[in-house]
Amino acid sequence: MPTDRRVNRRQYLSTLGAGGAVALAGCSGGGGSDEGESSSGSSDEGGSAEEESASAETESTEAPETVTIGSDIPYPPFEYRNEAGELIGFDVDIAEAVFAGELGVEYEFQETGFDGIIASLNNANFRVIMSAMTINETRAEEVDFSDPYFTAYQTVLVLDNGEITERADLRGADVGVQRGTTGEAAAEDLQAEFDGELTIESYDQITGAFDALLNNQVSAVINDNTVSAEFAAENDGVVFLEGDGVAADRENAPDYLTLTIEEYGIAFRQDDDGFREEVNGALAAIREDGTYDEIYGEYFEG
Amino acid sequence: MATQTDSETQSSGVLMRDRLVRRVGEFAAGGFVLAVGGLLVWILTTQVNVQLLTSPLIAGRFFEAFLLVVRIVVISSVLSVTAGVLVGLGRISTSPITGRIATGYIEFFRGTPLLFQLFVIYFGVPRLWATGEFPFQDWAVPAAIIGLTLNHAAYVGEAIRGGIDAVPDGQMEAARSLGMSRVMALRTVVMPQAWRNALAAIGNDQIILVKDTSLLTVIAVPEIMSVFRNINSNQLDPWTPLVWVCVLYLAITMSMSQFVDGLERRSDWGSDGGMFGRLSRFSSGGADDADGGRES
Amino acid sequence: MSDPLVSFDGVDKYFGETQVLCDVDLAVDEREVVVVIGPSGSGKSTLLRCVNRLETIQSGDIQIDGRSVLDADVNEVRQRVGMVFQSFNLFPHKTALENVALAPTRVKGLPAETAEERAHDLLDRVGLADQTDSYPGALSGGQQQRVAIARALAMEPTVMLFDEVTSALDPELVGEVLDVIEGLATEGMTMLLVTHEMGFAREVGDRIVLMADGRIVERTPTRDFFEEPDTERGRQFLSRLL
Repeated sequence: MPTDRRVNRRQYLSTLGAGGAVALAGCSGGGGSDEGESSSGSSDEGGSAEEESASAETESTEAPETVTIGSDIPYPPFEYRNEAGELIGFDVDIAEAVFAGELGVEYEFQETGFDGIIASLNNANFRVIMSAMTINETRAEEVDFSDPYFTAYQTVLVLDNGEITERADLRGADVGVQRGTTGEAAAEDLQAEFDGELTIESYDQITGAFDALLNNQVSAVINDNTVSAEFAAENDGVVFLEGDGVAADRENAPDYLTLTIEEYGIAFRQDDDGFREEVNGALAAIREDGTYDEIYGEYFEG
Repeated sequence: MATQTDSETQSSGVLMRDRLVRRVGEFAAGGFVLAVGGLLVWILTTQVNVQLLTSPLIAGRFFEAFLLVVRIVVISSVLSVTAGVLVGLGRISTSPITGRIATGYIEFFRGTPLLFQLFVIYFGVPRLWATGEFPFQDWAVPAAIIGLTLNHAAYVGEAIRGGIDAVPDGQMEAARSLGMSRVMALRTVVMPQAWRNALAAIGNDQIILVKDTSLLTVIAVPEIMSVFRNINSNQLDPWTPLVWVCVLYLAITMSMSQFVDGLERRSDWGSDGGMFGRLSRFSSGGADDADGGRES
Repeated sequence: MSDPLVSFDGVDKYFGETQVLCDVDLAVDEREVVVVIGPSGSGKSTLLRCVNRLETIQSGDIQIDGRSVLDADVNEVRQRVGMVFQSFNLFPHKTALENVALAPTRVKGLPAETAEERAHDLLDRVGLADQTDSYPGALSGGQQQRVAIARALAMEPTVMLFDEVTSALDPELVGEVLDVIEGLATEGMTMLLVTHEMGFAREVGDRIVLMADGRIVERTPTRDFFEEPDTERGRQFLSRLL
């Protein structure tokens, strides 16, 4: 009897050890994904590109049958839902023109929060990001961008009857931004410029920042001009802060204070070069044949 | 060693089953700890950037957020427990109006998400004023405290009600048979016992309150998760700041557990292990003492 | 003949649809010890609990010292009636001394020292002078019940109710409680006891009241009852015990 028990204990220990090892091995594979790939951050991923092309169904193209697009919805006028619940917007129309029109594949927008969106892309939760995303160096370290497809400016919204009438008034003010955006970054730059005399309130969605402006929680909102313009149009007491900004001498720039000039790009994983090249080609094509101007004209009056 | 009798074999079979279950339990628990612990160790050693972790900028911001969370927790905790006692008493009130209001309160604040309640208080209430006229400019933290208090008062109220129900009816009967009014009996006899009964449940709820502060990120309170999300989106490195998140939350919740445990130990009346039980034996020298020793 | 201290007149009580007390008439004189016995479910405890309005009655009257308890202030009534319960019901978060001194302090408004002095005396009377700082959890059942008696006495009641006070005790602890009750009887306290302890009833009781199905079926002086009960019911009950 005693001998049996000792054997049993050994058996248990070894099974436990094996189980533990298996668990650890599985865990160290990195984040899982729906498509069955494992990729994380900037670690070496040489193999996946080949897997990609091997599993592609269409002939001599990197594009999958359905392109999943990660996007922070709503962000009018780039991606938002109308009253019937249909998804519309500039990004949506560009996606239609590029993926369906030029590349002949289906596409599907996937709602996701903005501040984790790059990590999500690298975890292969979707194929690309189209979310009015500004191209910048920090982001370019984690993802690759397509050619720019839109130019935007960081602007400042204030209340008409408020105390802020020019850029210098922002010193010591409370400013609302959307978390993880270049608007937040512009606010942080401003904060540094003012030696810290600027309070930044970050909201999950830009609507939170807009509400905060109306609710007297912040006295200004720093955000992309087009999105802010929509909001200003719908709310009488909300106006753009005037002044000469960095885009003052640009042709198509808006005539109010601009803090930065930014370009939007479609974000890809860094091992997705083939697909990215194709999309760049499509972007060039729709610019040439006037489709781009058509779409632009629908949403922005010059 | 002759062959065992039938009964001996049977009893050792039963013994084996109990011991078997115990062993399986030990190994399951051990295995779980090894797996999770192993994962954590691997993360800490390979994914965490120690320089970033200890940089004064990052550490400083987390520490500030930590202080804010502690402040919010302490205030909300005191308020929610106080309000909860009132809600619990309302539940057992002899007045049907009070009783129904208390029940309705609990149903609503327990039955809707805290997130919803925070939204209503932070975004909704200011809408009642004209644009830009809402008088409280730094509404985020007060809104947070109000939301957490109202929400958790409901849970504490139910815990108190449960604690009161667990007090034997005989206690109230005895108190009243001595001529005490219902209110006096509640105050001096029932509530101290009810409180003791409810302590574990209340402690549990208050620890949840600490973690609920993570929801405050959606109303722009610069608490721990907000700092994490900001650093994560700027540095694109989740694991390093997550270490801080883990350590700081555990610091608060574990302290709270210790505190509640201390309260529970202090209110342990009678002979078993209670502070008062032992003291009474020393002074009266009456009952037998297992660990021997009279002081005098 | 002076007026009875406690009297029941035509008392009816229902629990929902069920009638548990039927037309109960009973008079208890001052200094009298009345022992209520009968099979379980006969309404003995209910009878007792009506005296201090722990139970309400649907018709009839109950009077203490000539005054009806029904429309008097219930808390005032209860100050004059002391009750000891089968399950002791001591306050576990208070010492023995505190248990006894609590009501006099809070209800009667006695200064703390006076109340504590009195509590000491009472605990001494019941033989627990050395347990004043013990918590109920540290006391035996017999000790707890004696504290309970002291607690009830602290309010200086005019009548004491004992509801099966030894039924929950181990046999060897019953004696110490009965001794205390006997002492009270000797001192002249008016008492209503519900008990199964027939030996005790015989020694201490002045009168036996037998109940069955919510009615009083016999009320006889103790000695007479144990020699020869008046009713057939009484004889049956007695024979079952012996």
